[in-house]
Amino acid sequence: MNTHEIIESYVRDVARHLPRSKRNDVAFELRALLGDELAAKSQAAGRAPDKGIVMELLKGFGRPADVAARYHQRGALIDSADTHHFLIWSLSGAVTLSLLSALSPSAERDNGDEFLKWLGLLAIIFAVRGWWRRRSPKAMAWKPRRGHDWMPRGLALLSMVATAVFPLFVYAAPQTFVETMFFGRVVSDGVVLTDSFAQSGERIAGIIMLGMLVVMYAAVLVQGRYAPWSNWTFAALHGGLGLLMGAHGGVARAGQVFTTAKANEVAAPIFGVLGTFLLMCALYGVYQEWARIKPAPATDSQPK
Amino acid sequence: MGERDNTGLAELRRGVLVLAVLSRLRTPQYGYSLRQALAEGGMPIEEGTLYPLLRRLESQGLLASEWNTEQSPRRYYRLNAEGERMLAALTEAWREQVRVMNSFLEGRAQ
Repeated sequence: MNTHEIIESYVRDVARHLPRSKRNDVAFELRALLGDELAAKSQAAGRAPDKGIVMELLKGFGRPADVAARYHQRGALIDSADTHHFLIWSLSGAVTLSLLSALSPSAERDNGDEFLKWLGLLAIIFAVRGWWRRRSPKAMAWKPRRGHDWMPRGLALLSMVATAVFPLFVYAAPQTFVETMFFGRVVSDGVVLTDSFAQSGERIAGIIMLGMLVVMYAAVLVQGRYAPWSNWTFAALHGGLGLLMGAHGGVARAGQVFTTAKANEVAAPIFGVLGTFLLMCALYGVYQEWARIKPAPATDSQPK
Repeated sequence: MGERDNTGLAELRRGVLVLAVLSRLRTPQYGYSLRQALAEGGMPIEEGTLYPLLRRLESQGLLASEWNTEQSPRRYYRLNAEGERMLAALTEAWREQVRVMNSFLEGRAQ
């Protein structure tokens, strides 16, 4: 390639990164400016323009995409400030899919495909959020928030009652739960537990953990916030219950939770999804504790 | 001058680049001639920085431009009314900054 062709190639590469409306005009000016610069460099070097001189000139000018960005700054698809959260959410998706696969092995799922869909969805959400923030900075302006530990007393009360009424009641006495919910108008034979499951240590452990969860919400209700011990209790109970639900899924697949095959068939994937959800809650709790901000001066071994 | 010194100098120049460019565009200039004028005046600017800056200043409504294609095609830039107003405002701010910085550097400010 001669010097003219090299410059043409460079100008083309810069222009193709620009909006269509600017391309031709910038290309025309850039070509003229590079011609001026090349002539000056050749004169300074005391020889006719050659490939070496033109490549040195273009190297100094910069990578075409970078030069184009100086001419026209495009908004990032995902703002650099959001990259950390994008990665956290991406990783959360990968962990969720892995847990779902482990706890619901019978479900037909293509994890690679699901993960790509998750990444695509995240990219769209982050891009729209970034676009909206640039468009309406006031609407997306920072607002003070209470910390992760804060829980409104109303929500704590609701969580306590809901945990006691739904998971604990339904788990401890499914037949009575169905009869109570439907005022005895629905036949509850379908949710009769097998003797082996009803008397199993796993089920007893589940009832105890759900009971402890109710007590923990009661403590949060009194204190109006999570204390460090209740944060760890939250993570431990959700982790334990998540693993237990995963194990129940395996028992249900073996047809040994309910006396009817249909109930076991319906329950097995529900146990898997529930187990995944609970484990995610546990991981979230652990992550919150791990990432807790504790303002303190950096030590010599930490980056400043 | 070390690499760290060069970085500091580049950042210092970046801060006053717009003012320097506006000050040189009271008379029409095309890209290369402006770069030469700045370099001869003691402020060498990389070509890859200066030429896009001219476009940005024009899109911000501070410069007017027109093509001269009689010989080699060249786009000439000059200040418009808004550019003149901005130059005056930045000049005043610059003088105030120089006064403040001088007082800092000479240890007069408390």
